[in-house]
Amino acid sequence: MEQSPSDSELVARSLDQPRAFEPIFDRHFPAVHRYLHRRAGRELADELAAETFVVAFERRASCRSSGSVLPWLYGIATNVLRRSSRSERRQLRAYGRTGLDRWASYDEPPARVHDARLARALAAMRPRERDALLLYALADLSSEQVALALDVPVGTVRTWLHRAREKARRELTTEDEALPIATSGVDVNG
Amino acid sequence: MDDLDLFREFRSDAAAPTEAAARRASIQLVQAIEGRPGRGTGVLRRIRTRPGRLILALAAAAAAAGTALFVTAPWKSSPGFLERAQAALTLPEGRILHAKWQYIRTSKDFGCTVTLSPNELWADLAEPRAYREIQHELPRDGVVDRRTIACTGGFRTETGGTPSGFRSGSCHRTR
Repeated sequence: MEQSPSDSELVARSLDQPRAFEPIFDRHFPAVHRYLHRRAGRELADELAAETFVVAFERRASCRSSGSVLPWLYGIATNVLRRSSRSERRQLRAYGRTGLDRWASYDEPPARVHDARLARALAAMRPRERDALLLYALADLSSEQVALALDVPVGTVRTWLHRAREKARRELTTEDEALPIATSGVDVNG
Repeated sequence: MDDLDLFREFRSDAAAPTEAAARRASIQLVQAIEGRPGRGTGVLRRIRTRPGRLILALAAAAAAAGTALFVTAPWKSSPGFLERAQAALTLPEGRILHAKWQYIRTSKDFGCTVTLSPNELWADLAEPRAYREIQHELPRDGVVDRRTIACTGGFRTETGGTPSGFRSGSCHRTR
């Protein structure tokens, strides 16, 4: 049985045969859209996810991924989101303050008491710290993959995640009803 | 559990993309792959995909304003301003206005994008204001199927003449 080509093989092939890039969209559009949806709401995610793949196609010659190109796509999505005119931080602050997520598009909003607190913690972080944390937590990337996505050294990513953790801990434990925060587990600094 | 893992649940109820969103995104990507225009967002995208409409509107406005100034100018006391305005808005004698524009028509209902052949207009703004226009917007006679109208190109239609003596030119199918 013929094995389907890997992402990196398709990207390399698309340099000569542009249409070879199309399976990349089929494989990863849902994941990229979901990541953007969780950061920016559905409406903006529809627009930015489309733009992410157009930008990825135009910059495919610079792709350094050797296997899955998903971390690279997440990095492009993060940059596209940052260029968007709407302020993620302002929205997170409002969500943390009011408990109402105006970017959500759920038919029946679930009772997520934690999400508003998490939004407040995210709003307290610097943009790069927030990017690194959300690529780690929402996109389920390792520190090395976050570094690839953001095109920075892995040590920088670990520093950002460390600062994000400190700020999260500080913000979340100052709540009246603090969330249970564990102090052990996966060490992304490690 | 690491502190950062708490964030894995953040907005975890976000739904999968709709089929329509995926289709629109795939169309944008295909346009990029095929080297066709259509990128950009919001107002910019609309202008980019319909530049001809803007050019034509500007040309028409300039011609109309120039004609109005020429015909009605009652302010003889300020010839400097009027002369400058008239000079800026009217074509030099003997010049033909040539506008070319193109439509990219996208149907969200049927998920198709059609790049129509360019439309062109030549107009002599001097009397008797002869013009010639080639358009590709109109659907074929008798077509009532919405999908066909939305997802196929138009006929080439050529018209021309003068405003007082309009005559219809040849009309033949190009797609």
